[in-house]
Amino acid sequence: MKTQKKIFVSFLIAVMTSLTLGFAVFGGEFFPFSSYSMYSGSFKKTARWYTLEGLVDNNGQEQTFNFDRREFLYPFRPQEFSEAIESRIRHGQMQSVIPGVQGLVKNYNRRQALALHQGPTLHRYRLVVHRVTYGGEQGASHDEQTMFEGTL
Amino acid sequence: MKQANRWDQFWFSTSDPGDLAICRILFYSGLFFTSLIESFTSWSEAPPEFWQPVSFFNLFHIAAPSAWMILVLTVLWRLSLIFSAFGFYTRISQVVAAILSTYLYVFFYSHGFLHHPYQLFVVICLILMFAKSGEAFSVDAWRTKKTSQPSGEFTWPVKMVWVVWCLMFFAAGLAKLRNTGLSWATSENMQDILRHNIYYFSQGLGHRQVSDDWPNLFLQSPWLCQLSAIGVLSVELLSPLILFGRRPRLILVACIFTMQVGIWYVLFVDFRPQLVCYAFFLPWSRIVDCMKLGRKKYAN
Repeated sequence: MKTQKKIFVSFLIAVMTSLTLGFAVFGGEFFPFSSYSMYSGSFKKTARWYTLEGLVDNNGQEQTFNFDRREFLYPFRPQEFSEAIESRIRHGQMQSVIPGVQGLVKNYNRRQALALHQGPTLHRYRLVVHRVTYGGEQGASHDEQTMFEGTL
Repeated sequence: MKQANRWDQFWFSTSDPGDLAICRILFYSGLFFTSLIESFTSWSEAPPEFWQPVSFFNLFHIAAPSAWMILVLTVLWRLSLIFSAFGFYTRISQVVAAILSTYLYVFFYSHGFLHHPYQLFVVICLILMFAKSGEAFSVDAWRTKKTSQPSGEFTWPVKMVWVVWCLMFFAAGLAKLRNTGLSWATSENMQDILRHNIYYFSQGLGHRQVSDDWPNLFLQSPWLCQLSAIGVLSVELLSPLILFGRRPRLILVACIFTMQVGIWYVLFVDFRPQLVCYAFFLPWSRIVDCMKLGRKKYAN
């Protein structure tokens, strides 16, 4: 191997290692470099996540329909949807959540019309925030609250 | 001088071109099959309010690409992965694969969420972009009829993958210490994580392919939770030792493999796409020699 090539490769090694190690030590994310902080926090605190629910008319009775699959929340998977909502709120962009969710409901209706899923026809929909506290032997206490509701 | 020699010995000691070539074939094939799981074009249909550019998309204020552009880039990307695996115009294919992997995954993650398993793929692509991995077991080698001699050219990319791989686990261990401290492993934290995951996945939020028998078994035995938490943190923090000798490498790689399988069964976090990275730890030339020897013995 030529010396010049060795110098170039050594430089590349130094850059890659510094970036990987830098994010490991100081934290933060700059894809593809990461601090890999998944599951690093304490789960004693209250966990929070978001779901989208539809309200369906079933012979005069209103029933809840969960957007619990990718085909309904397209293109998001439920976990990705929850993380995306959380991220919007964390970045102080709450105002974009409502039009974003409306866009997903539009996607749902458009894909239903194209028979791309077998979900029911919605009357209303709502974004629900779940707060769960894990209390040792007693298990979890689950509290849910509607963040906003929309009508179709 | 001694340090320089050690540096040279670690990164540039000669190795067979076949070792890196087999890693190339397995890695790009694995990445190709993983690429089929995610439809990047579907993300063009996400409402624009969810667009949250990260990494260089954010740095250079790159706008969301159109559906057509994503479709074309995805086709090119998959082709580059196939070409790289077969070693067809290897250098160009690897450069295209690295650039497009970075671009498409950054686009994918610019919607407010992040999955960690794919980051390592992109880093490895960026490393292989500079590697001469098409010198053996490739269409290029077959066309040029060139036989490459063992060289340091085939060693440093594999060692570089070792470094980024172990630093990924080291970073995860360090993040636990930074965010929670030693109590991450010494308290009932692991039981809380298990309770959270069982509950979270039972709400239909995550896609789970294994039953919750395993996490329940762990939940019933606090000592098992405690032991596994200490084990995970220790293995993660000790992972850089894989760079210091064959024995620690053998032990730690086996421990990390067990840990990843355990995490899949107990915490439902699917690390299967990452399994292909273990190819970089196997002594391929020795395996091939053993197979040849075995075949000879069988023939005799």
